[in-house]
Amino acid sequence: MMKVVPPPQSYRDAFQPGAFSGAMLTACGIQDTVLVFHGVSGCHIQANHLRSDHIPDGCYVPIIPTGITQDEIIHGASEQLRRALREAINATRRPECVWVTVSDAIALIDDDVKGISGLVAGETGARIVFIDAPGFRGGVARGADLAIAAIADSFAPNPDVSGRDGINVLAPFLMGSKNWPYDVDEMVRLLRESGVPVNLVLSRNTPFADLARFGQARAAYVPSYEELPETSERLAGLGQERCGLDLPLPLGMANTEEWLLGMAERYGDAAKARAVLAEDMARVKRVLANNYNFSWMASLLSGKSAAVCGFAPFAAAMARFLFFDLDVRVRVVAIYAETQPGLEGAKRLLEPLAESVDLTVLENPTFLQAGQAAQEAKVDFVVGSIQDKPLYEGLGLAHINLGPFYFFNQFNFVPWPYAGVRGVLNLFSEMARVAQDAFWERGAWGERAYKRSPPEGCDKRAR
Amino acid sequence: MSLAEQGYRWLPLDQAWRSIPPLEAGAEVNRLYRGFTGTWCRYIMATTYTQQLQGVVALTHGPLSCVAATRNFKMTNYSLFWANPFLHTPCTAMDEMSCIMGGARQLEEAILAVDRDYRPPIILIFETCATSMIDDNIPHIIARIQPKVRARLVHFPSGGYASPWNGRSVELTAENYVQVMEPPARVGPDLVNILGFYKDAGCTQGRKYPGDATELSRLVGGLGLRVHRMLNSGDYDYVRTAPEAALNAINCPTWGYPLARQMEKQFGTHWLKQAMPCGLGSTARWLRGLAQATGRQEQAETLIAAEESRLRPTFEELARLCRGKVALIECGRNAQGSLARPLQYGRMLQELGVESYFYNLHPMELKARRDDVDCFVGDGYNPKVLVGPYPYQRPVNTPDVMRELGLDVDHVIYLWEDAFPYSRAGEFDPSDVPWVNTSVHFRRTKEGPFRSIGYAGTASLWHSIRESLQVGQRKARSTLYGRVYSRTPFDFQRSQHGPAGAP
Repeated sequence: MMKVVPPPQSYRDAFQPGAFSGAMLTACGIQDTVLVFHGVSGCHIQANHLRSDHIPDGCYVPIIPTGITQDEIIHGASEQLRRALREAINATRRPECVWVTVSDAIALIDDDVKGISGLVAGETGARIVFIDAPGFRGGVARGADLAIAAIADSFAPNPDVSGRDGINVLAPFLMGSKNWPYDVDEMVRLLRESGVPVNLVLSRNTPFADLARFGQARAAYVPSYEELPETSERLAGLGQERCGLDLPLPLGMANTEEWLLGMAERYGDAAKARAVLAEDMARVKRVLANNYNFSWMASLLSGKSAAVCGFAPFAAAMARFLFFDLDVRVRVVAIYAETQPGLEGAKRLLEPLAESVDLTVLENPTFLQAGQAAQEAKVDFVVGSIQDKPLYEGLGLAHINLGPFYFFNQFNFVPWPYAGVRGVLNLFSEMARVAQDAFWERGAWGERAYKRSPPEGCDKRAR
Repeated sequence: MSLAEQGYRWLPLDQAWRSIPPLEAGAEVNRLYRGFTGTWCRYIMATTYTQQLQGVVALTHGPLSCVAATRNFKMTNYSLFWANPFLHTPCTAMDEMSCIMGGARQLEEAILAVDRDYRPPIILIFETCATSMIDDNIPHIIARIQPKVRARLVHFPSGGYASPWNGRSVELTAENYVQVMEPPARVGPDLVNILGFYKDAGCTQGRKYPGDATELSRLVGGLGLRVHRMLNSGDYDYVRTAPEAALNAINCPTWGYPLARQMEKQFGTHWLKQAMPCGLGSTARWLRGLAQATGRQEQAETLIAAEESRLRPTFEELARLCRGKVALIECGRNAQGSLARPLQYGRMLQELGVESYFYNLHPMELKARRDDVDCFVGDGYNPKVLVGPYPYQRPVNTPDVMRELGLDVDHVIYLWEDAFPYSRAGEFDPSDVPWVNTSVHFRRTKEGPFRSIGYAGTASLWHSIRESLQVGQRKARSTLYGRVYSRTPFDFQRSQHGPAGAP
């Protein structure tokens, strides 16, 4: 049975970076480009920190902030922007493109960013693309939507659609996994080996030249169920369909089988997909079969209860992984999305769980709601994010942070995915960590630690 | 190009401060320090400081994006590493439409709902750039809604654009807490507040590693006085009743001075300017100042004599080991905004006969820290600071600083703040040079508070310096961190290419 709890009407309390972060995450995975952030330092640091997600096995795209102060809010900050654009273009190595995005304050004073960008582009011959994504326009998905549309408009307005094939993978960071860079790498590998040509990944260490191929795919896969109106409009204009809206993320065995076969049947070769699954499974079996530690942990996790909290695609897929693959009874799922389709897509994927367990699904809950729900459900552990770790552990619940971005303090330096069949090895290792936190009796070790008697000749009252 | 050719120069601290134009002199600032943008903003500092309190709710009137900005790094970090509670941060989630049409109604509804759902004793209401600029009349809204809710409502002006400079944001934030306080029913003559705790939630229990609060409580108790409040920490009642203390002592001047000034203005609470006791001399001065103000001189001299007698042998040995060395104190290679803490260390090192040079402190961040400058220069400590363009807040590299000063690794002790310290295997690595982790983020010792406060902190810092002097002699088997950033990460490469491995 599924009980759905809506959010409070009058306020929100969730981790939702602003639209400019979505724009940055889209743009800063494109090699040989620069981002100019026109706005206030507090917004810039958010974008700057999340840019860390692109670093592991990826690329470094500089972000040049304009650092607006109160004076510029009053008088306008056009000169700051002009100067920053020229500095970006005249750098030691001229970038292929300069992206520009803004914070709330700049949007409110309506600096003519587009006009200034056009002027500087005209003066210098540089490509400058303005992505109008201040924080108040929405969250990461909204920003990605605006950025993808800007890129499509700028670099693929009239594509050569003859002979087009395969899919584009757009905004991979929307999946909500802290390991998304390696997850998307694995997803791309699986697709390609299943005969699904991957035309473009936007963006993950993406060569700038690849942007021109935006229009040459048959379909676009976004690992999210969010409504992306600007992107959808561009895709419709290009005759591309958006795919995967009915599929879970490939986290765990059951999800990966469904995802890969679903994609291969439509865009590749299902027989090849089955072969890839079998080959990867053989690899996994070489590690896990007859493995005492694996058998122990799988048995320990079986029948336990959990809560899952995260961005909607990740939370839904993780809940399914725990239930289908590990026989963990998921009692509470907190799903965070920016649009109603984002929520509905995740809930649809949770319906199979509700046939077997009593499941409470919280839509965009506050931290207070989510914490209380997990506590009342008496779950054994929580799968969440680094941001909510102090909340759940403060409530006495074991917790493992697997979402939503690589930044901050998400210490994983092993370049191995969570996604796919091979990713199960990594994902299961994470589950083992939280199981240790949940079931090892650490408190007792301290209370019952051996204490030596005092030496001979000391106060005999101690005896 | 040398640092001097690039426009950098060493100036005494007070002269450096005076040489920098006012914060608001935009055109001049842009000319001298191209690309300065700051790191945080007033909103982020204001909400983060609130997190040190327990049982309060911070309601943000603005977009969710701003709450994410503060939770993305500071709030999460300060819970994980600093024992700060998880702060609930309901938000009016302003969108494009409400930024155009105004969000007053949303704020009213949010206040009523938060009061009903969270049942807090106090709701601190923050604004963001957007709501500050559209000028939703928050004080008016609060006045209208207050009779309808149980929680006390307090407005904290906090539009981010108002202050990108860290020191100024701190000043504007800290002094606001006087709004939470109430006039005292009575003032306890032996009660002392300690102001100026940041990140550190001021708690003395339930932590793995001791903080400033542990040692400062011990010192205050050693004079027969009682610590009344350590701010910011505690709950609403704890903060509300702070004016019951007769005296405010200061830990960090950046956070402590602004609040102390306001408490003096509003409640007449006397305060002491000595701050950040670290080293024998400054700890003794801190104690003597406290003793003088409370008539506890005898107790102070007894305590000081006992502690100094215990530590004197270690002090003398370390002074001998440090002879001929110079300290390079980096004020945050990343954010370039730490001042009080580095000055604390430099002042302590001066007692050991070590002269310190301060660098990677952005001039605008220095200019925003008038209180820190006054505190240390007023205490007789006026060291050399590297002032220069720091274009786009790019740090200067430590080997360049050494070259400028004519130093080599055998005559240097490196102390660093913030994140991303300089390290190159085979050139400047903990295996090559005494490399003392004094970063507020990362320093943890079981023997004393991680900010090296008081006698326990001083002793633990001396221990760290002494150990670093030994560790930095091996000249081989560099750290992983140093190898990652070096072109010659292996010992065999250095033997092939010579000792210098820097790019």
